[in-house]
Amino acid sequence: MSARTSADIPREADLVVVGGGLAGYAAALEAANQGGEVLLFEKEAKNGGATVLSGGSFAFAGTPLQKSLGIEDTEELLFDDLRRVGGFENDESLVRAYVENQRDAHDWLTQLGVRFERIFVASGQSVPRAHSRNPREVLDIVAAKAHATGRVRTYLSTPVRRLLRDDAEVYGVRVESQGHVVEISANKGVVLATGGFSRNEQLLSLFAPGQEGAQRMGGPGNTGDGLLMAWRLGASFRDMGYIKGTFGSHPSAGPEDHFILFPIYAGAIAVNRRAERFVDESLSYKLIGDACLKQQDCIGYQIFDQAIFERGRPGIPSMDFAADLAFGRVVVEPTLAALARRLGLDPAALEHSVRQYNRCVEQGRDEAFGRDGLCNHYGALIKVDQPPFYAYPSKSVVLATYCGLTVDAAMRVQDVYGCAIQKLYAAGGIIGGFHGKAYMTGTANGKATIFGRIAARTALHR
Amino acid sequence: MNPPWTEEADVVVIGGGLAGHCAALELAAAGAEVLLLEKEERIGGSTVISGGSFAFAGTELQRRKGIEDSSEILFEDLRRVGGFRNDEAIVRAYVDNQLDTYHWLDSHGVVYENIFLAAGHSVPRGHSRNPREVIEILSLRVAKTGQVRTCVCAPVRRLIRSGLEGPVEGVLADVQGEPRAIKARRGVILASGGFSRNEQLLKLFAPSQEAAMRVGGAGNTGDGLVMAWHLGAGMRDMGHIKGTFGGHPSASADQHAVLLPIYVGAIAVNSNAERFVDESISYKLIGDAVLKQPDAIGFQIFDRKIYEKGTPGIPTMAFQMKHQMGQVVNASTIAELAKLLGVDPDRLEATVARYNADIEEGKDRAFGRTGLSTGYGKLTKIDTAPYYGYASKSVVLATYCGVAVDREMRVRDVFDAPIPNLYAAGEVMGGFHGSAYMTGSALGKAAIFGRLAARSALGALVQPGAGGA
Repeated sequence: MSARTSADIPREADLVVVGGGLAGYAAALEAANQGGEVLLFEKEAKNGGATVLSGGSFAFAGTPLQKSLGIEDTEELLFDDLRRVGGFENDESLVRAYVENQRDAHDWLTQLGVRFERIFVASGQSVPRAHSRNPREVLDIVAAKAHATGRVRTYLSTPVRRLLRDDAEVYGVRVESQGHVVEISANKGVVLATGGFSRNEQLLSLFAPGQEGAQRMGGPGNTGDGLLMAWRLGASFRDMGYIKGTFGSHPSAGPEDHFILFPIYAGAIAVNRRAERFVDESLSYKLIGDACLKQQDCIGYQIFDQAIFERGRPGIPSMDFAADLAFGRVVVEPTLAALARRLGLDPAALEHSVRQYNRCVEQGRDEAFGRDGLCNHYGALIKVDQPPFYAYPSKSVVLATYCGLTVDAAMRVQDVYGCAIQKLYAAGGIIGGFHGKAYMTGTANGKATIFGRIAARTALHR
Repeated sequence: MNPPWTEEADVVVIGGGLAGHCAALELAAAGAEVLLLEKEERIGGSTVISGGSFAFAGTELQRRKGIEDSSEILFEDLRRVGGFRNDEAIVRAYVDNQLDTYHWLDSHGVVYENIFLAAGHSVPRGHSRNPREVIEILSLRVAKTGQVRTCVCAPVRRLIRSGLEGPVEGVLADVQGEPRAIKARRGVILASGGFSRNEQLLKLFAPSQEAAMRVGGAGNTGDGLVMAWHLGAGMRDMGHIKGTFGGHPSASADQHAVLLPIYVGAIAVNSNAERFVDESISYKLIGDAVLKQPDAIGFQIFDRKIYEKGTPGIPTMAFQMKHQMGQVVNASTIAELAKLLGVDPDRLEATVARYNADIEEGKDRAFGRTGLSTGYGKLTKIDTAPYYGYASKSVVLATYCGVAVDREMRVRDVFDAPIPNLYAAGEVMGGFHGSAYMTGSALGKAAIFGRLAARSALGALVQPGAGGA
């Protein structure tokens, strides 16, 4: 590991990368592979950022792994899914940039040694395309390859405080290292890969006061530093009004716990404190998160049975029901009434809701909420009727902010008048415009990889 | 890097609404040379299409009417209405300077026609006056000083700042089509209003308000916000943008079309003829509630007694005028009224009957309404023909959020450092309202903060290189 914590930082590099998550390391490795000398600054004592807290899935389409499993997927289908999930409010050119570079990014990760272990269908995907792998392992692989080039140096516990700009362009950064302020020149520019701001209450209350009842998650460093630094230079934003929590987080979760589970996407229903369904459970988990915030105490319960429990996928954090059972977060009882009592719900009301739902499944029509699939119209509904019965108490959590700096398809940061801020680039959770209204599982890690590489290429070839 | 200046002034004021005029007048009175730049062909901005009320407390006019009010009650009301999300220092700045500004306006000839109770007031304190007359009075006063040059058709394009940290030195503007570089020796005051006429900004910060109508001065496209943002200005309250209930579906964007019979006793129903909200809460919160109703529409239902409580000259209470315009409709029975409005007659009768029964028992079982407006004023039954109805949507009238300022109206950047020589007042600034809005506080803050910004600019010495750390 060539990470350093000392203050003997070179005063000059080709590229300065701010933030040591996947976007930062993808940018650093890409730049190094093209001959650039890179300094990467990470505010926290460890690298990994929000990446290593994520569900570990990548939205790729048309991969060999999909083909080997008989899943037909294409770039056009991915494009259409992304646009539709985003309510067509996402920037078409950014979606296009993702789609056109995703296969190359997949192959690049694979060649670095990232082996995707399985594929599952998740929110926003019309076919299974969430390629999953432990995200810490992915990050470590990419970081190790970056350091192995000999051209990337990482400085941990070294926050970047300001961007330096003269009349023409961004020429460097001001970092804080062991109590000293150091100015570093970046000849080819600066890539902001600092992530979102789900750990900055002030920014959340500025842009998303309606999410007050939601939990917060994200890397501890996700305080919007990069957003603020670019904003200081007049950078424009996208999608700020679409910040939404994600449904499915266990009430016991702390900000660094990823206790998110989606039995709904395997067939569970979601009920509120009155044991009544409140939403079409096949919708995007962001939309379900909104619906959950309107329920009493902002809480819901995913209710499922043995058959659905067995559809869990060990090793995929958001679908590993058995693991959560072992940790006591999934609870199980022999009857629905006992389950209701355990959760503090009215037993008769829960039995009634489940009975009503099962009747809908039988009749092939969900009269209450129009659910027509397990997830995004995909997968046949199944009854919840095979004991024992399971429940997963769930809140909405602001996992990531999915909005931020306006960039063009080459990841150049744009100012409020639509002009590029010269030599300033951004990638990953810090950018806006890619997601639009809602989020597809696997696109956060996907865009970190894809856009990190694009940002580095733009910077070096400018 | 500075362009060769084509002209100069002590202070450049951007925007010719109430905030800009109050700033200019205050500056001129102190002997400063002012350039007031208005983008539109006419001065007046959103002020002249506003409801025309000023939230002042403890005034002679209130006393004469036997209304007990004070700066402290006003402070508490403002904080509470804003859900305690508003910046206490800025609310304090309003409260500490409001009575002085009342007297100042009075000394310039702005007298009020009436006082009424409206959203967020715990006692009547909406001091009303036709807002176009207010602007006319002030613009004459401004002209009389001989210190202010007012230019219309003069959009400002950019602020000019010295380097990344230095003071704002001037502006680039197109004055009647001619590009100008205007030096501002003592600074620039942004008084350019909000952005309720900028769809792109509304979509960025408030996509949930897509179904709401938009009203506001034609020039309210956020120019000042964007110019300050370009220099790294901070922002406040962006997530609290909400429509205001009471806009008629037929109204155009430059008509101030909000009518609020609810605050003198009307109820609001949806297209199923059912009530959906406590009608005495802030009209912004009712705006949110109506966006969730079918077709995002409601109907204010009232009777002759309530109709007669209307006040000609107060736009929000001008029932008679809206009746003449055909927006308020009436009928001799509730059932007939329902037919005119296109809602179910039986259900509307049932809803009104239930509401009347609740009033008799002294308790609104459905929504807990306890007063006409914010707990104040006694509820009255809707039982005296003819009956009136007014179709109402939510309207984004103003954005009530914007650039971060301190209590002296100095614009602050995202790291809370002042941007030297840049000030903001009126609707362009954020932090004052918080999560909801009190009637009369938009004009109030335009006048009060316009003057404060002027005083700050007068006190400012140009300090090259000063500012952000």
